[in-house]
Amino acid sequence: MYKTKSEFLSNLEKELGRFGVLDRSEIITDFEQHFTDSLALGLSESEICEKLGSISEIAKQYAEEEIYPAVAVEREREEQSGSGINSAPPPQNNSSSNAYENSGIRFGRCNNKTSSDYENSGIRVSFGSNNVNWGGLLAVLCVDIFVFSWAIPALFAVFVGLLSVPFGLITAGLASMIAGVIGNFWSFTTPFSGLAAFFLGLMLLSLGGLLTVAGIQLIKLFIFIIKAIIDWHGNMIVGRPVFKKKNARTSREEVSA
Amino acid sequence: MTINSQLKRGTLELCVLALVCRGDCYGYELVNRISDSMHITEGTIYPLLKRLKDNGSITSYIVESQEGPPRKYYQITDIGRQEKQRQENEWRDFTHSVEKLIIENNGEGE
Repeated sequence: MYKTKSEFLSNLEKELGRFGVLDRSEIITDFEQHFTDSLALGLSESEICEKLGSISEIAKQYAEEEIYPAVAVEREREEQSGSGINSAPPPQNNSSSNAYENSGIRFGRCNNKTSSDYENSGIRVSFGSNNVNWGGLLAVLCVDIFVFSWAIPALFAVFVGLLSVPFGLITAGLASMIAGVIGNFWSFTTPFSGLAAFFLGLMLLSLGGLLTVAGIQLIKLFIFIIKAIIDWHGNMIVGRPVFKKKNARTSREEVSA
Repeated sequence: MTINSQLKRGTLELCVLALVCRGDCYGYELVNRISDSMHITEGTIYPLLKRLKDNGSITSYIVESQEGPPRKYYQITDIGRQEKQRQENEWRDFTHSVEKLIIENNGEGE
């Protein structure tokens, strides 16, 4: 259990990251507000932490709430036909809100609810236990053709550039530094003094190092984007993501179980 | 997990929806009003609010406050109102069935 606000918030952020929850900064802002309001009522930071409960429990709940709408709708159906004690009336069909949800568009966390392009692409055909969304499949194909035709070659070029520019800079830097040192020892003529060549080399070397770090960050970003694209494929075709937890439970399920 | 905590988890959503139905309020207000009438771990309200927001039952807006950072208020939507009504009916049916069962069983026992 944590004792201070800063401890609680930083650990909550870490834990949210561990569970792969998006929108972390918004969540942290909400909890910051909670601390501000509680402190104004005269509670101590450790009391507030205690009342909030366990950080991993909170993070887990956020992860579970992040259940994909299409999966949630499917689950509700299973729940309705599955359990006997459910005396509840069938859930109302909020078709207005579900139109967007059924198409399963959730690219990262953009929540682009206004994009109606795909809203009506939800022609669902039952295919064993998986619902294959043929409209979604078509949309995926179109996007893939577009991506493969030019985005992949372009990305490849950027990638090669990212590898070769730092490599070139580091090589040039090392060469210049060595030339500077050797030039001082053997005093053979260089365009400028050995010391200048040495520091020029150092500069080139650190520039190379900087670009390497930038390159690694960019590659991380690429991996994130590729994962998001794969998830999007899953969502469009069978209505569930590839990298997300599939067994998240809704709280309503718990009560009927 | 006791029956109580399971029940709470399932019905917390209805409680939050009911409170927001009565009027816009901010996160801490909700937490306080609910924890006034039952024991909850306060941290569980926020994930719930986020889910309700994500599924369109509530929306949020920011209000600048004179002291401290701006506050986030929650407002019910039409979907939220329908959802609250649905869950309220479900809850009434459920408690009614449970009560009936408990009373019948008590009668047999005597």
